[in-house]
Amino acid sequence: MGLAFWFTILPLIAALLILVLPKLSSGVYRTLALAGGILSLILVLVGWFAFDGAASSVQLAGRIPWFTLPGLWHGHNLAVGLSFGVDGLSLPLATMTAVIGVLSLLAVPRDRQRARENYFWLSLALTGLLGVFTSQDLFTFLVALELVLFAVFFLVYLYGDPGHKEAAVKFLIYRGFSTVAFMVALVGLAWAAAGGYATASANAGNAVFTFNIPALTATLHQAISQWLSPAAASALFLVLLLGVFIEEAFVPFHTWLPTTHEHADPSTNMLIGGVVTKTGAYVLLRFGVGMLPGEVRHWGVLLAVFGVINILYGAFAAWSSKDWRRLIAYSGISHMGLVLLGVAALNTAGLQGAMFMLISSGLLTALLFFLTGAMKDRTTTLTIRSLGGLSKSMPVLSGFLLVAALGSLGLPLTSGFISEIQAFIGGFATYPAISFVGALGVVLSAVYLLYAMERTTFGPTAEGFLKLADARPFEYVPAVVLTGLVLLVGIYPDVIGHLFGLSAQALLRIGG
Amino acid sequence: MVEYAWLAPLLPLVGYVFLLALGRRAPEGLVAGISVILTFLSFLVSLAVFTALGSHPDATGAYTFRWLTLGTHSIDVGFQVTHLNALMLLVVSAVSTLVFLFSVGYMHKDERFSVFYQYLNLFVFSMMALVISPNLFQLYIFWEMVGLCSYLLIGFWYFKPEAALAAKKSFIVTRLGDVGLFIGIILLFLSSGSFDYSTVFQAATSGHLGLPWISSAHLTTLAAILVFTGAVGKSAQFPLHIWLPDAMEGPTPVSALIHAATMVAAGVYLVARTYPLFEASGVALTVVAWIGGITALLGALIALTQRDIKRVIAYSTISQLGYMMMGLGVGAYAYGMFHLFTHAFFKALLFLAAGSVIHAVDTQDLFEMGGLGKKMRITQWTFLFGALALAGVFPWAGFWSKDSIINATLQSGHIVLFWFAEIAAFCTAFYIFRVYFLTFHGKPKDEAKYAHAHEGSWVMTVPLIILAIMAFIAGFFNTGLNNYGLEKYLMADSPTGLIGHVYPDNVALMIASVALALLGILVAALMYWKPVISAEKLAQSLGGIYRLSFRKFYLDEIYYRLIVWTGKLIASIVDFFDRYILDAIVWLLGRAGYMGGVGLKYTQTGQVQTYSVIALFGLMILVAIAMFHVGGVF
Repeated sequence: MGLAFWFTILPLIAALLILVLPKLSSGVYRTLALAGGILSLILVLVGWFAFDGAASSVQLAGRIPWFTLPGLWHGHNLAVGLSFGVDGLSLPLATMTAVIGVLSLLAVPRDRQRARENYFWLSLALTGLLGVFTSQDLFTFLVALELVLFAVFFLVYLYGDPGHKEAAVKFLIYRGFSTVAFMVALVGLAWAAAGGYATASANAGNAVFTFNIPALTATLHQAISQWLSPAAASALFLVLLLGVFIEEAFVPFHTWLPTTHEHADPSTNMLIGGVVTKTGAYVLLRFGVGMLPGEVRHWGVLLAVFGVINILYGAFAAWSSKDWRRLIAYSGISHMGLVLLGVAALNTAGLQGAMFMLISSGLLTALLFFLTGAMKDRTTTLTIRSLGGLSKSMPVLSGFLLVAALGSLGLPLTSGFISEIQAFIGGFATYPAISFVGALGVVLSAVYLLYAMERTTFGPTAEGFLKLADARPFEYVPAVVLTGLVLLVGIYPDVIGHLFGLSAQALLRIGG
Repeated sequence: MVEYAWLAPLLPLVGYVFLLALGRRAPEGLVAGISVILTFLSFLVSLAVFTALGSHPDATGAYTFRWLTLGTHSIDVGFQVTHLNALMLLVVSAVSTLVFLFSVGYMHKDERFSVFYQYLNLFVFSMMALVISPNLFQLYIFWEMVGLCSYLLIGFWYFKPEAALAAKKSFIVTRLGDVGLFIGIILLFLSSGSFDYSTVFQAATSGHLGLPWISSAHLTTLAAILVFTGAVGKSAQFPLHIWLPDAMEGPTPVSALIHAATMVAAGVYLVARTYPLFEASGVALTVVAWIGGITALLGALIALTQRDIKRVIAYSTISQLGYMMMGLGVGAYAYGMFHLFTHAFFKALLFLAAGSVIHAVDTQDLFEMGGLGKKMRITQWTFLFGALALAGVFPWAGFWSKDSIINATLQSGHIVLFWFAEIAAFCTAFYIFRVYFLTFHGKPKDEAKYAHAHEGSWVMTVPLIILAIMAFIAGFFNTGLNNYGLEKYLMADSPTGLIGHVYPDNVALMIASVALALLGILVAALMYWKPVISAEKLAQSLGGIYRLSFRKFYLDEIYYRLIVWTGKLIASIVDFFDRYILDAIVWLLGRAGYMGGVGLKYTQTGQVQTYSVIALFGLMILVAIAMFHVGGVF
């Protein structure tokens, strides 16, 4: 059985153990959840050695059959199962997920009330997120997405600052809609592929109905050009895009994200900001560019314009944010706008930049939420105006926060820069005028992040902040790991670049 | 030797890593010892590279390896040594070594002594890596890194609100320019297929720089101006000069190294490095000349009336960088770089001498000083050497380099710019001697501060003396006496042996310039040494003009109202829209669903279990519908 199967399923096993075990001390649950997460992370890292980076195919695959729907399509059976595997796009994203997952487990406070549920839902969410990136089958993918939806809903519902229950409901409604949109669009794609296959003269008489993602990717473009009407293809794409917009918190469907971040617990925020807000863009790359490249090209201007709107809207909204968590949320929206621009460009640089940005934004957002969470533990507030001079009492945490802010504003030798410049190279190649406007975001990110830094770590230290403790030993782990990865990608981008490069080219080849 | 040029930036990087490992509480002696020795070694490497290149002019070349693949293109990193780069290496490492030594005394007993040296080492590494970049991509990386170091060092005394604001301002204002550079190099990459200087230049000069939406000639101009935008930000040229005076909130050695001698000169270096691009577009070169000329005049006019010793010298830096830009813009490539070379020494000297004064009297206000010459002989004399060099008095360094730029401006037919330069030259002599007289002559204005004043230890005076010697002799690197050695050295970068233009010395103009400088000094002496003319009365009679200079032409205020307010306004509008319009619509939709009695009401009950069951059922029903629909069609 393939590695991808095991590292996806391990946190689930931990979750189930937590569920069935009798009432124990919270330390046991913590250990179990961490064991599941860390084992999963180790397997992912082993996967890097087992993975053939020169091939763009799906590898480390594993599948368990579940049930069969007989005679669904012209007598053809649809076999439904759980199928996992990774290609050059999935592997780095799965790695990031495993890393952030383990770190957000670590960030759960040890004195947590209802700790058992926390570790249960967090482990479940981790399997769901890993599953989203490793699914090789539409059914598996949708199940994984549902898992994420419910697990994260409960994490927000159960823990956080006052108002978190309402935020959780908002999260659920929004992302529920995006899941429905994905379901409709993806089943529609499978149907289109089957229809196209059946009508192709070479396959006359044979019927195939499959949910297998690589198979669909390979056959769909033919089906679309020969069988599906352009209007139907556009409709499918737009439904998919609607899902992406809601899932990714793109303007104007974004308001669930700042609300959620503002009220959720730091460890939950790390997972949401780091990974949950990257699944929509993954859908756009995998199913949008991968299966409907003609539609991405057709709607390219729209995507690029919305990309720039998101870059700027996110930046301005971040500028006027009064709370660090809202600022980080909008900063994330701004980053993801650049992903949209890179995808719209539909060239190697743009796609590669978009993929880099998913990793970069994920790492940096998780780091920012971890650090601000650690600060809030001490200062009890994250209102920017009431902070100040924290460098005095906590130089180490302030230093890490500065690195995270600089990474977010795209300073060279951090992951933020290399993502940004690739996406813009792609953007300028295809849409120079729109990209010109978008480049304003490069200045704005410096404005809002340095403004927040100036108010937080610089300046005179308030009386109440003078005696606060700096980073505790266990807090170094998330800070050092995430900062290290941000710098690694920034200084030696080829560590993921060669995988993303091949994936980007594979996606473009399909597009013809 | 040239193939070992990478050692020059590596040594300070080693210093940085070492200090980082030692931690922030490392003893001062160890920290300073390591840093000074490593930069000095770096200086020796640079000197060896510089001379090796002089004897084998064709030994330049690029050493690169692949960093990242981008489709069919690759992005390389590595290093390249040209004559221009070698000169910059020498300037950066020489000034760095002296500033490192000076800081031992200046930063003594600072709580974060070690952190200070960490940042300085990181800066020197970044600056040298910038200088020997083989392509625009790597240049941009280190361009931003030196900006980061500048940010960190301006905000070094983070607890001072002014320092925090100044650090932020410097980063954001230079970033405005950097976006231009960012877009510029992207456009050059897209049109030429490479970030390498030589490939880009070849495409530009042969007219193969076009993109589908723009012709080669227009793109060359556009890209050159965008690249220049970056230089405008970094070199504090009008209209992005406003960050540099505020940057004086940083420790004075930082002002000397970063905000006078090296980093702010990076903009001038960038224009020189990409000179073929500018030459291929006449328009861009004209823009450079005018921006430079305007900046030279503007800086000098503002410097006339400032009260803060460091701010006067900061505006002087802006003005002198303007001269360099103007030199490049009128085609005097070698003279622009020559002035960069001499200016690095005498301006670093002026800042360090000012630092020595500030260290002694603990104030930066010129009108709280006075009479310090008696107590600080070495500082007084070295400052005088710096002032004479800046004013352009024969035969100090500034005379040779500034005069060659003014000469080139006249000879190339830029009459208006020539007058700008001459007026600025007069103002320069006046403002720097105003500082000199107010500081070192006359009666002490503040007895308590005066009583406590004293000369610094040898670590502070030795760098001053060395720089004073350089301020005197640096000009002789490019005169008829050595057959214009520096100019010939720099020109060797071009296969034709000529970059831009050179002009024969103009003795009449030289005499006129020196006379102008002496006149400026005389006026300053009459106002502030032997007060024949009353400065107050003059200021009163000039009224509005005086205020214009004193309030820096109100540019800070104008920008604040125009740009910052607009930005904040948009931000508030977005915020309002977000909260009260978008979210209100969402809320209304939610209510509508509730009124209709559709599923949403379960979300209002707070019964999450109910909701999750319903959602799961919904999922199943949708899957079923989708599948049966599929089955039913055929």
